[in-house]
Amino acid sequence: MLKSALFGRKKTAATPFAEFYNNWFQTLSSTLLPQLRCALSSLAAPPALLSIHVEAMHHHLQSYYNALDEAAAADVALCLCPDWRNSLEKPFLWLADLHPYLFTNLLRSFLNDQSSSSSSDADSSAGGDDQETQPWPVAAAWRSPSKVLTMRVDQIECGLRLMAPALAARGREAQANLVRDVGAEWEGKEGVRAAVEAEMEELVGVVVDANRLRRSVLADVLSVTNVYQAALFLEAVATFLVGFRDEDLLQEFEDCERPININININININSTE
Amino acid sequence: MRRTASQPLLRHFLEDDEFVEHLKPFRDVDPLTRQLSCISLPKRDSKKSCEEFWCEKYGAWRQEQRSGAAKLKKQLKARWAIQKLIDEQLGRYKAHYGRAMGPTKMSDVAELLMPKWAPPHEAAAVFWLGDWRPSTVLELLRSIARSLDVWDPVGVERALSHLINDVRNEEAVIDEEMTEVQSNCVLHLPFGRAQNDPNWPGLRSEFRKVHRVIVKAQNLRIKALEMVVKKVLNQSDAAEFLVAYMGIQDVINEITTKFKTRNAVLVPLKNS
Repeated sequence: MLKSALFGRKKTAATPFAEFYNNWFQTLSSTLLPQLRCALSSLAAPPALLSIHVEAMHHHLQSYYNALDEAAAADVALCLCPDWRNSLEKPFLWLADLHPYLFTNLLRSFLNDQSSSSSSDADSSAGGDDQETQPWPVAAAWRSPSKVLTMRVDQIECGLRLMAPALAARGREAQANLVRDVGAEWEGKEGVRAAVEAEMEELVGVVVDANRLRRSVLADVLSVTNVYQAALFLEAVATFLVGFRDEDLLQEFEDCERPININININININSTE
Repeated sequence: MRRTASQPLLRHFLEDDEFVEHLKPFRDVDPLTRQLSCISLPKRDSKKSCEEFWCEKYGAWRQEQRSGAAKLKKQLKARWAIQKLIDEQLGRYKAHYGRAMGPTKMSDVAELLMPKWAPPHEAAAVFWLGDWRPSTVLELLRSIARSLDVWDPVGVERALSHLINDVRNEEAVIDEEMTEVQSNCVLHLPFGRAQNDPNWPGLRSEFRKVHRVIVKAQNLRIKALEMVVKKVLNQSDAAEFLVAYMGIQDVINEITTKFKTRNAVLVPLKNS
């Protein structure tokens, strides 16, 4: 039912999702992110122009989640084990994409950075260097966030904490239902095939709902922030996404032979002294 | 002569002729003689022959006992052989799950979570953090227990319910830990908000956290399987379960491998 709803639209062209994703990523890293950064650092840029870039970026992210819905309807299993994602990205995927908490944690970090830097009265936060070169409205975007904004962020987080675990539970229950069906008569292959197909259908719903959650968190964040705050937030999201595909970092990551699970205590001690 | 209470019942099972034939020895023999013949006391005329008689009797008894013990020994050997096979099978699962404990590079973590050896549909259908979800294995056992005709179905069902509950709770704790890493990586990865941090410690430390989660998941898989095989089921049920589990893994693998070739991911390209 879900599949037919998603595929009811007329298809003009058919592209493997991996190809779509590469094109989408290229647009993000080569066009939209540089444009947004340029608008953020421009002293003369009016808020209306910044708003256009914010909208473009938001639309780009939404279009990705729409396409991911369709990819899930076509083959949810490939979305859950995506071959278009590299080894650096895969461990951080939850139901086919980034965890929705990631967006609220990022938002929270803007709020917390500001409160910590204002309390210490020292510009030592991560974005400190940038703020010196940024025009005043951008640099001040997250200073003294309103109580209303803090309250709305709390509300978004609260909603997420209710919905995300429920989605994970649905995925788990779908797996349990499969083995309940299969366990009794597992030698009848047709029955097993039907049970797996039924589970895939349920998982399509789970992934589509996870995407809906991610889309709605992004939309909520943009609705509670002003244009400067939204621009900085989306710039951080896009920078994070692009970072996963940084060629130098990826090369270094792939070439690194040092095991991560040996001399863990020594490494922790070294890190804590740095 | 009055019949004893058992006679009508006995007659119920025998035809009339058979019944009469059956009673004949009891009618012909005096009860006292019958009793004595049962004891079979040896005659007192020869002490030697008496001893020989007892020796023979004792020898025959010993022989029967020996033969019984030999049969038991054979059965015990069969049980030990089954136990050995069960342990070997468990050992293979342990070795498979334990591969995460060996030296692991950062780039190996993705392979542990989404192994290339598993068809994507199999992974989606039954996997959690890189292999069969422990509570799913237990649910599977609950389902096949009916067809296995287990020795104590009520006891097994009760024990499984408790175990599934406990394992699900442990899965939830591990999920929580993974969620923590996945939702905070935006703050800790070198290209996240903490861009001024040195690259490698941030990246390595995030992958180390993910690896710890995987190791916990693998340990839970081993624990769940051991609990089922060693605590919940008796030996023969455990052996049957391991056979059925392997069979089901094979069937799901075979079916989902075909899924992969049948379904292509085709979506319309959208110009954003």
